[in-house]
Amino acid sequence: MGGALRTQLLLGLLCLIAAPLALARAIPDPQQRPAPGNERPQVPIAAAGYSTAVNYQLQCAGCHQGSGQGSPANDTPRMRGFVGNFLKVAGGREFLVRVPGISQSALNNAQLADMLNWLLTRDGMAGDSLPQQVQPYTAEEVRAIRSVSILNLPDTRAGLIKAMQAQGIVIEDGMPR
Amino acid sequence: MKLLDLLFERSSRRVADTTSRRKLLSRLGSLMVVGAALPLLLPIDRTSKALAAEAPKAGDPGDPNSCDYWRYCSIDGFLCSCCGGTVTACPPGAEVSQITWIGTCRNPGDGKDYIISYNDCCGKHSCAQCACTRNDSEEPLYRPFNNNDVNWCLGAKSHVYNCTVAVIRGVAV
Repeated sequence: MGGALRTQLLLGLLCLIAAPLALARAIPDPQQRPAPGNERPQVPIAAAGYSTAVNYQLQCAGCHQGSGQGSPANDTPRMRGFVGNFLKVAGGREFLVRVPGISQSALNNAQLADMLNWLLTRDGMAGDSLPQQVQPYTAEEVRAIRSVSILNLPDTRAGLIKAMQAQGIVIEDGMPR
Repeated sequence: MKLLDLLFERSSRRVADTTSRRKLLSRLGSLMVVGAALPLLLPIDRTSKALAAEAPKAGDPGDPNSCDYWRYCSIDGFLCSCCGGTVTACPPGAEVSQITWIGTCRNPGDGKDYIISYNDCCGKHSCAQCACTRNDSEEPLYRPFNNNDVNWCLGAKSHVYNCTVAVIRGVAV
């Protein structure tokens, strides 16, 4: 083995030993500290006492969007100007509590009742889709309905949409059909 | 069959005659050693790792290129500010995903909780700079709408993840 080759080999070996030390990176970084001012653990949203509009931002707006237009590409229907129609068909009132975004959210029952009542107003998300008479949700009602899970979400929803169509309601939820 | 036999015998004999095993081993060995170390030796532009820290501003303390910056209290991914974008803007050529997840972070400047939206930038390959994982206001995966392990690029045209921005949407009160 020539001297030049040996030097080359030794140099290569040295680089090989150094490479993992230089490239190694743990994710998450064990040395990472919380940002200054964020050391205290956050209060869970159910106990934070935020307004309903803030709760909407934190739990709903990511997918349903700030104005409630939804994201049809991701199976998130439009609520704006449409969500009130569910109160016009049998089973719709329960459906609105049992949809995953509501029933599985981190909000408590009273916050969810407030959220639904906030959405279902004529100058709010529901707009003109709201029926004439709307009975507000209560925390107790949400508790009772929420504990029963929806087993077949797409079919349940399709059934409610069909019932709306039978009433002559134009379906403008942004979903492809 | 006999023809194949003859062909392989002749070709292997020729290889054995004309090459040296030791030389092959040493060449291969040095090639492997140098090859593995090559990424370190190559003259790659590493200036992106040495981004100068921005001077803290009044009411918005911290360095936006650091995982410790207050707005990144629940970020999981690469910081767009290290990837050619800013805290609130995607790098050129990347598309922001409209659907996202939203949490809160406390601003040490005024002690208030701010609503932060962690939009993913999509359509370019992984930026791989400033990898951060902090989960202050994250919820478990059974609440996917509040989870930062989800690839939120599923709301964009391309589902390829590039980096994440942190947009302030308001004060949480």
